Amino acid sequence: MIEARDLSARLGGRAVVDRVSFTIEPGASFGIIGESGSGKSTLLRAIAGLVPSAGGTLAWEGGAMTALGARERGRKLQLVFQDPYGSLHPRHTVERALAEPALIHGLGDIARRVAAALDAVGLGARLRFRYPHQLSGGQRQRVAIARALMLEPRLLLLDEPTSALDVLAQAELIALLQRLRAERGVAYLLVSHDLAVVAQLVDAVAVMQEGRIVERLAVAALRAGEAHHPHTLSLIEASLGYRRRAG
Amino acid sequence: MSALLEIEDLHVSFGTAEAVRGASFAMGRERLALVGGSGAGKSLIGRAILRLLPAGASMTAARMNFDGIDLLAAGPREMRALRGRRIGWVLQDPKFSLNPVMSVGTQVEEMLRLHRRLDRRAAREEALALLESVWLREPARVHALYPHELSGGMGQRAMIAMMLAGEPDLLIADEPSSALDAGAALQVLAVLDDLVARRGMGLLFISHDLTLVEGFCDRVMVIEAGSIVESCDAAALGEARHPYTRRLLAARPRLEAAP
Amino acid sequence: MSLAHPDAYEPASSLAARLTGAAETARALAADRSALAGMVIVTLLILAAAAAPLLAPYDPNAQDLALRLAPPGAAHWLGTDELGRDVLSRLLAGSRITLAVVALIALTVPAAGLAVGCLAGFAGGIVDAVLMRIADVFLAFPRLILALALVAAMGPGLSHALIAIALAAWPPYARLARAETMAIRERDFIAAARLSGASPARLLLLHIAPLCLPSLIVRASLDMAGVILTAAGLGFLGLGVAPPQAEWGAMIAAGRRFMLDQWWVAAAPGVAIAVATLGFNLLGEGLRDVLDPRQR
Repeated sequence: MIEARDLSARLGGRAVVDRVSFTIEPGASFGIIGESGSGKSTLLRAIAGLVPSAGGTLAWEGGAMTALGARERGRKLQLVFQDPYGSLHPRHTVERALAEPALIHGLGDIARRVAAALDAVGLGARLRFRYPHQLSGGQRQRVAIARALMLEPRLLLLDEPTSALDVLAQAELIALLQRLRAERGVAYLLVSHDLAVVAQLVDAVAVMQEGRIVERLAVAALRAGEAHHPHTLSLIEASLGYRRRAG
Repeated sequence: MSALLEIEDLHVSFGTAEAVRGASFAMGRERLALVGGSGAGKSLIGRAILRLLPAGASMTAARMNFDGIDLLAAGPREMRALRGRRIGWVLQDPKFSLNPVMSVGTQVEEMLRLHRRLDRRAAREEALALLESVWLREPARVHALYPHELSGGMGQRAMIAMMLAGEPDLLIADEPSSALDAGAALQVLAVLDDLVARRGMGLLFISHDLTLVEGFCDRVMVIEAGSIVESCDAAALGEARHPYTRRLLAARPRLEAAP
Repeated sequence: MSLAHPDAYEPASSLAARLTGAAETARALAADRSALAGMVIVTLLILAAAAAPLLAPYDPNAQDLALRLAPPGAAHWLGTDELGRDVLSRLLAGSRITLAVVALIALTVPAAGLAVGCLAGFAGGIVDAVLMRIADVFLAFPRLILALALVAAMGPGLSHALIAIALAAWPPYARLARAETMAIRERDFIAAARLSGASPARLLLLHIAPLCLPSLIVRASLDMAGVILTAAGLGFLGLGVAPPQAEWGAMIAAGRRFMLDQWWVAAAPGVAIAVATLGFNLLGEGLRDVLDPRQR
């Protein structure tokens, strides 16, 4: 469905994404793990067209992604940002934020669509006229997901969606994302530094280090610790938690 | 263990809304974790101890003693003498707690000269030693860097170095690793582990992640909606009975376990 | 402290949500004593100007040479000027001029500055450079000097004075809007709107410009004090409205000759200017405290 080949991107002169290639089939889910600064967020933004690519190709169902305009691209894929506080317009109510994609694309029946979107992410309709500063972090992130689903994209890009949430809100959001994928068959491309979170949501992962993919493995292998590249092994080690020194 | 910090019946309110309801605990030179979801009031407790509550907040307590000093009765000058010098405070995001227009070294030296009255040369040497003690490789290079040139983990360790300049007896760490990825978080925890053990400091570790503190602290307190609902040894967390504690324990996904 | 609102009240519509937000802003503003004082002063100014014909005890232009330079008393509360005209009535009439200047400037200049600044900040590149250089030209002149030069070129009169003040006043708003736009355009919610397919025009009008408004409103309130002074200054120099129309600055100029013995002729409009300026300053500062932190 989506295929990247030797995709590169630069930020401020530096090659932050360096010849990355991957393929995602419809309905599949794929994770990219790495430390901060490994380029994974920039990779997502490059796929979404928010950051210009500095080389390589990106194909959607065989055709070049660049052939699709920004509007068309928005109906194929959407992005959920990391920071729930920054991804919603501070002066727009939840209703307004959700209606925006539908208004832009001239979709009718806005009120019903908004209500359906809120319902899908488990938020009550009574939150419709709240402003972002009146919502908790977990609620904001759900609104962001609802907004991403308004145009019914086939691929959802998720940039560390739970990193800014506390452990309870994170668990709820993971459950929500699992349910949505089962219900809608939308594909996920999930980026995170938290291996445990990624393992809950995807079938296969690629490990990024300094802009390059250094290893690819299935989630089962990740869980079993059967990795080969030293960076992957160190990431797995780190995710097992802190072991206190004796004494 | 003699009590380093004693809090009895602490209440913090914003107008009529109570954010902390009657918190009571005592700690010595040990590692005590304070765990709860966001908005549970845990940061407020840390701030109340330092008497640095945000505007609009008011607090009352039956007792609040630090090493025999009555924190409730202490005036502004006394509190200033305590903060940094005897009680250190590490926050979540070094981007917001480090001064962006001063180099790291300058900030550490400022703390040293303020709290230990060192002259310029001694302060510089001590600053380099502190940066080394938080495992920042090439301390001389980091000394000259500005906060925006540091990664999250490095910034957090620089913050710890600053807070240790006064040689405090108690360190309050408010979600020190929450903004970091797993590798950097482990490094910061290792640094804290090492320093707390070596200097015999008390550590009040505020976090939302119960499984994280399970392996790191001696005792754990769980706070829900402003009230402390459970208090036990970290080793005994598996047998914790309060439903909120069990929720927190179950919430953290584990890599080894299939969903 | 992110959940500042109990679930007890849930706005039932978009209008209700906006009104609730506005009510909270008003309440916060009223809680600040000096801001409240500012609001009161400005409100009184508006009321006085609106009801001037009704409130004035005498016709502002009616001369009574027998009673010229009469001190404040029962018949004339603020005394009379050198032509026997009631100072209080002229003061009220003059407030209309002042308020007209303030209203016209406040409604047009920030809007123009917002448009230019947002466009410059969003487009960047050559558009930004050209627009900002134009702004720099106007910014380089001290406001009163520029207004003087323009009025001297175009001739005296209220409309010319207004144009002069407006041309001198717009650049700071443009710079402010540009700076805000450049910061806002990097934020995630703008990226999200782009991904939804929003056109640049939509982004500017519906997403970015509304966020620039609070700082422009604050700036405008604080600026009005300066505008009042500039207008009075022009009037003082005889470059504002033509006599015998009452205008505060012109009244001070006329009253200068008698300042030592018949102080009320110049003092009354002087105090009026001072109080009006103070009112806008206090209001502006109060608005800044209330509006700015919310954005973060």
